Amino acid sequence: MPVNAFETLGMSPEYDINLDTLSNHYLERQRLVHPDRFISKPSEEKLYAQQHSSYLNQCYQTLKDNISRAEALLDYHKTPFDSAENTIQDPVLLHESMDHREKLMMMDTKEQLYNFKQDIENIIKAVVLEMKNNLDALKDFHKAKKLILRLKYLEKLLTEIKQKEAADS
Amino acid sequence: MSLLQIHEPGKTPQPHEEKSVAIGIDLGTTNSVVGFADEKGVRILSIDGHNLVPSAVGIKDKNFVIGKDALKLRDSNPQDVITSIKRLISSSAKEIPYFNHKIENKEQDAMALVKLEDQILNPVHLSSEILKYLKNKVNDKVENQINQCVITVPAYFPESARVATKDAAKLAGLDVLRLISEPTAAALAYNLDEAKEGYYLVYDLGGGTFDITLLKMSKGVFQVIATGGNTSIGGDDIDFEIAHNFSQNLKDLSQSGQKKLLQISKEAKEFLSQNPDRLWKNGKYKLSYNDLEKLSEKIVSTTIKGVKNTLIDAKITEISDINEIILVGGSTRLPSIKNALKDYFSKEPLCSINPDEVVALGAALQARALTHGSDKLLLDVTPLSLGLETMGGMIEKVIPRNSAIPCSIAQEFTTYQDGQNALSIHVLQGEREMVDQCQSLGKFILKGIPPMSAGMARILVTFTLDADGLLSVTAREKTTGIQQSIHIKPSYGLSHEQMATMLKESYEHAEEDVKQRLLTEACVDAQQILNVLTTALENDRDLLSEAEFDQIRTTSNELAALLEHPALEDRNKVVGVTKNLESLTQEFAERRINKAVNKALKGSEI
Repeated sequence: MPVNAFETLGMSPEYDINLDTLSNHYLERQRLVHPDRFISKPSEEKLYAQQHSSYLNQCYQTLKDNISRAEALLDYHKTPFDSAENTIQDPVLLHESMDHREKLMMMDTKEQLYNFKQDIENIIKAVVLEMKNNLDALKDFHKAKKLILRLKYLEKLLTEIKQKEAADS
Repeated sequence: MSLLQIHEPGKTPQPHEEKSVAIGIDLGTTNSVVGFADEKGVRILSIDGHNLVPSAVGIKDKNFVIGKDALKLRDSNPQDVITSIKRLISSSAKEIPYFNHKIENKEQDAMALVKLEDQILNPVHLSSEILKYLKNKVNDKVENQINQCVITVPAYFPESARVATKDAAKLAGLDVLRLISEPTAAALAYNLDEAKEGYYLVYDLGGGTFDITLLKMSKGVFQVIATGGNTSIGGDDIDFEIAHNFSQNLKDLSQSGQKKLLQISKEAKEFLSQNPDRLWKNGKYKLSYNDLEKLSEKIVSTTIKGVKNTLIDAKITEISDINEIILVGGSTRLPSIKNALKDYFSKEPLCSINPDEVVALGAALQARALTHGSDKLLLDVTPLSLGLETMGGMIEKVIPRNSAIPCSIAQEFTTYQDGQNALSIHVLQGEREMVDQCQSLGKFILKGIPPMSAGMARILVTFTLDADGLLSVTAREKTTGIQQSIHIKPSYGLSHEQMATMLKESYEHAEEDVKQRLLTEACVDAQQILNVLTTALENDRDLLSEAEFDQIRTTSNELAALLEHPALEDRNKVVGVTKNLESLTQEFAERRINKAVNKALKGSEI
């Protein structure tokens, strides 16, 4: 059996993947193994279908997400990202996060929030580009780990902005 | 069985398998509806001349009366009739703020109990009476007895309510092929896969529940992207607001007085929904459409807020990305709901199929797809997060809401005290951070952890959700391999013993019948594995060595011989040999899967 998410979903082990292709591959495979296809089969067979289908869901989730895909790729290159040893110690990142948090607290108009959201989304796009470069071209895994940390923090911030937007509207 | 068969999309199962027939049931809060699909199309099966069967259960002279008859009985004996049973199934007795019938155990964190005549009944039993009635009525009309079905549940139904619904079906003698969510069923009924690919939002406001489901259609696959809503608001709340407007001291009225006033309020709502330009009058009560709009405003705006939150969950920022909005549930007939949605989406919502029937039609289509094969596939998600209690009454989420199901997720936990030899696993469902704000699903204890210093033990907890959204949890200590697991039964649901007793009571001629059924089931399973094995050997004998082949052949001959004239007491033997054959062929099955998957992968490379 294929062992990693990339192989399972028929994707080459790269950070820069086409999400439409990924989705198509996922749906094709899910059509083969989903438990609904085995409804009139004996229970053990249904269980197999369930396990296959669950595994596909897990792999798809991993590859779809910008952060977990990076982590999966580091696993693939046998230099796993360990969240325990990668805490925010980088003073630049620390400063950035405190600055953003302060901004978010001060915001009170819809427009401000919207603009701030756009800014953060643009930063995320830039970090993802940088990640592609480091993982696919430069193979600088140390740098990639730092970028994962930054992405994690930015995604969390984005969720908080959206929650604030929803609460206000 | 391990001979996993892989077939190409759209191809129906093996030709030698007899196709079973299944119905789709919308077990609603107010009405229940049965749908059926065959090669000619999909339709509602009318029962006693009506498409909707009131979800009402009454007792008269110790006999159950269901549906219309129960409502008739309510006029004379309101204390012996119960409606809106589904509200009782989705929360525990003390969580139900207001109900149309006295709850016997109001203070308990247990499944609500009600009294009809002199019988104390739980909602699983009551629901099973409705299902049994539907099943019998349908079977009166058909030649081959139908005992398989797809039942719809609100997307937002918690784990416990799903288990309870399945239990009710089991009690009614129905085999549930799949629980599917009501909004998804509605989308199936609208045949959206033939429409353009993209996002669709289903807004479902029933009598007692509110569901939002966001679906994505692509390549014949319906993917549920996100769900939201609230199990405790619905059209009934609008009736309640109206009744409260008519009489400020509603709660002081007698049970039957309350029921009557709520009934009048409902009539007012329905009249004004159809005739917004007229004034509704009944004795000393009157209501205008403007009044109705004001009284329902709070509920309507709560639902619109729910829609917004669901879109955020799904990371949809542009509301123009939504192709269509589909209305489901009788309560969406209220014009102010249509208007509110139209204002928000700048689009006219879809409501061409009768909102009371659309869910049953979709369930019937899914029942047909499951029994006869289909080129479409439905991928669903879990509506609520599932997690574990950690130190300090906090919750660690293991499966976040809107995860695609089936799924299996493992997380590692550890001990917090030196020499700790047991770990209590408390499983919860909900979105809040603290244990007492979420619903407890069950507890178990992993014992026999070897003495280690705190934080050294590695305990792997695995949450597995099946395609119906039902959960099982396993905990395993990695160094010793000791393991404990449970299938989640709601803590206020029925215990296995209670369920067993009820099942036993429901068999009138218990023992003999049961034995016969067990034997038949065992033989059917055995025959099936033999059939599959024959096909598998025809196609893939080359995957086996001579020795392996001989061993499989001997065991399968033994099983075939047993099946020729099986007696009641042979059941265990049949099961035993079947199991043997299964384990013998497991390796073979894995090789076949690999072969099939490799083939499929080769075929789909781009």
